[in-house]
Amino acid sequence: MKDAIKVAPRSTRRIVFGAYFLLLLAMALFPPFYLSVSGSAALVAGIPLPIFYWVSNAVLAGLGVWALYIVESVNGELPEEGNPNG
Amino acid sequence: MVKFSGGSDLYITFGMIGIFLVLMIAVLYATNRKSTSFSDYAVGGRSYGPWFIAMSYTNSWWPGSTFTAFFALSVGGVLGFYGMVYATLGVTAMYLMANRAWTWGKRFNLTTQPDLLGMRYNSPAVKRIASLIGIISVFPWVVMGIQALATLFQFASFGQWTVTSCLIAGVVIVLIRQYWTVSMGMRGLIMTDMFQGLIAYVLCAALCLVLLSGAQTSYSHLSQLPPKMLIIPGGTHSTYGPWYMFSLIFTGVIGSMCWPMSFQRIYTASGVRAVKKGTLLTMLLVGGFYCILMLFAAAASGDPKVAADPQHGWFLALFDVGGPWMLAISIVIVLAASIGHVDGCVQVCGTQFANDLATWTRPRSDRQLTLLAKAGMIVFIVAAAVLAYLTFDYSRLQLLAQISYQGIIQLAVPLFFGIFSRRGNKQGAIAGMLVGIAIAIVLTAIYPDDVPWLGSLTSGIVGLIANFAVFVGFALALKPSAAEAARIQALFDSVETGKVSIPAATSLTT
Repeated sequence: MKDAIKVAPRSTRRIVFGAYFLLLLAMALFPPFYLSVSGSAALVAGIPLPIFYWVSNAVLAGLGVWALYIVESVNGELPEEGNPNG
Repeated sequence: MVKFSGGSDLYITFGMIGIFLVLMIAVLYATNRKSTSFSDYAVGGRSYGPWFIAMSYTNSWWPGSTFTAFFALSVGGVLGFYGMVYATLGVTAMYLMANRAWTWGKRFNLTTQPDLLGMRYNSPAVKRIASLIGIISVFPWVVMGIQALATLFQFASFGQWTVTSCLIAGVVIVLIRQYWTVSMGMRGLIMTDMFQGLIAYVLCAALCLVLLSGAQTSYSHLSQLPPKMLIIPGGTHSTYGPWYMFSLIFTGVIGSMCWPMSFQRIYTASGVRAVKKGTLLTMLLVGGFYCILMLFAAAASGDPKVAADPQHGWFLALFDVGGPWMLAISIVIVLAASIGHVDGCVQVCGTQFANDLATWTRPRSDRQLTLLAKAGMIVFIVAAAVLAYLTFDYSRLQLLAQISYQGIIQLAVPLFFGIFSRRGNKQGAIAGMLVGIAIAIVLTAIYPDDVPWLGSLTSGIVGLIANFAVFVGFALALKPSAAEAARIQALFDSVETGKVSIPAATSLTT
């Protein structure tokens, strides 16, 4: 897995993560997307779909940044630091 | 006015507040260290790791009103959940700008967000305008933060204290706390942010999870929410146009790094890795805490007392569940969040005053800058305290706070272009910010909520569109000189290569 992440060129990674975050932005900002779930009483994980929609957008954003951190870490793009507090 | 039975339980609520304040002061004394330079005082010597960055950002991001205004939104419907979307997407920007923002900050000894703008556009005017916009925008929030403390004392006294007494108590608490903000600067702030954050966000989230697993505000209530609560504003039967939610969320997303106290967290980090790891933890804290609180608010919406007074629903719900002990915990949680937010605002405004504005006519020594920052903080908090007292129950203050949000996002154009693009110039940055903020102020005064004939776009977004057009127009019309182009090239290359070879024109000292 680490090797696969390492061989991916930087430009490819930028396109993949760029597209991912743009999709999440569209999900959050583009009215036809979020209005399509407005008023729905369907339940997902015990909560109504409109609430689940917003929660999942935030969770996906968190997972995306987490994945980006791992990719940058594996590729040695995050410099080690001295001895920070905390 | 808050009314309760059980006036003899004052010792519980005030006892808990007292314990909280004593512990907070103990943390301050235990971690007290004399600052050795202005950078040390303003950004804690750029020495903090991910957890401190995360907790400090969260403190500066969610004020006490999260437990009143945002809580009320989720009691009323699904609208309140938009907060976690813009909070998490917004903090993503901190991750993406970490490399350049932190590296430039370290290299040029930058201590504030306007400092970076001034360096990037090689213009003291850009720095000063951005700094003024930041300080003016933050001010109403500090005033409202102090006033919100008055509400806490109304609950703590079970409605027995008069509004004036509660307000005076709130002002006194804030003023006392600011003694350490002024004397210790960023170090004191970050240490207490950790303590306050553990109470305001971690304890709160844990408490809400326990309550959601109980019977009174059970998680299962969420499956029975009435249909009207599930309507997202902007649809067919909504009073708002289709672009209302877009405006709210977009404002929040780009606004996250525009608020000077949020951006300044980048400069407190020990390195790029600390900023990036701190962002991951911030997302967990900012999003996780808010999600759990809002789920609790929605689950509590069936409580008739909460539904009748959603602004105070957090206190009422906890009092119903656990009486005065639980009320005391709810008060301490909001107190921790409120103090954390006010501290961050005061610290950054004092720092910006010294670093960005008081250097108008001549450079200052580290000692002078530190003294000026302290003086700025004192003036700022005293002015806010006086105004908080004089304008209590002044409804237009809310309007000022709305204008401030629409105003602060005008920094987004020069900030995001400045960090992510080599294009743009100081003329565009200055003209764009001024045009944007003028439009935002005028439109907010006429349309405080949204502009109906623009599909419910908010005034700030309209200003931002004009700001963007002006910035791009100047970028296209005025080509940079060869020296400026070389400076920008070297600036961006230096982050990639790690080599310092910036032309001398970059050394912006005023």
